[in-house]
Amino acid sequence: MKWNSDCARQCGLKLKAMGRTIFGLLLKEQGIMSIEDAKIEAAEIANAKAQAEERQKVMAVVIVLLVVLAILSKDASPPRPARFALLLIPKRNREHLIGDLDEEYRTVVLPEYGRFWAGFWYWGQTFWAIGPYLSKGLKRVLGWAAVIRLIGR
Amino acid sequence: MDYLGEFEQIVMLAILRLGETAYGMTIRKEIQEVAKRVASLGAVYTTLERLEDKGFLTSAVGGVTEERGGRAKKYFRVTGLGQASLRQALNATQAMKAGVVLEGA
Repeated sequence: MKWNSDCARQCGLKLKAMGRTIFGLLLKEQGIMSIEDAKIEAAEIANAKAQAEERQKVMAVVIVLLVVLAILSKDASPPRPARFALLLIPKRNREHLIGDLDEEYRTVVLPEYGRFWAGFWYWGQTFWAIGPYLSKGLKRVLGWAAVIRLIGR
Repeated sequence: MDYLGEFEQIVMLAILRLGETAYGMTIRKEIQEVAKRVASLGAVYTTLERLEDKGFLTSAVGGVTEERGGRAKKYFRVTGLGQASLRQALNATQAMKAGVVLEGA
């Protein structure tokens, strides 16, 4: 092999990379984080913080919505719009689930906490009841979309 | 045999604890009181459906009451296959836990 300027440059680059690796290993051994690791960790922390803030915002919106809906419920029976929303649940267990919700609403929550909080509770339960079914349906739709996309290629 | 997830194990144990009175509302209450875990009825029912599809549970439609708005209850029972699967899952957890010291409160 002939020695030329290209070779020298390649060797230089390799030595630099080796130096970096050894330096990084030494820092790790001493319990000190390398600059790259610190950057990655800082980015991860910032990302987690942003996600937590986003979640808090969504929760605040849901709570405000629940309060408004609870105020709007006029009589002691379960809120009708919530009942309508519960129609999104598959037929297989819909009647039983609504029956369970109504039973707990009438026998436990309404006598104990009153109309406002009972309405709030019913709406909350409705959202949490629909959630798992909606996510299940969404996953199915996304799965089919992926399959159709693969076939289309 | 299908493996059981943590929440599936809790639901099956709640059904076994309740015996003849295991339906959606009582299962949710039992989980809340005993396991100190808040679960929505939707989450409980999706788990019950999954366990029923796997053959670990059977269900029977019960009577209609006024406080339920004329809707029937659906009672659940754990099958022999379900009990075997639950025993296997609990034994595996116990075997893995042996000799492990957990730190923290």
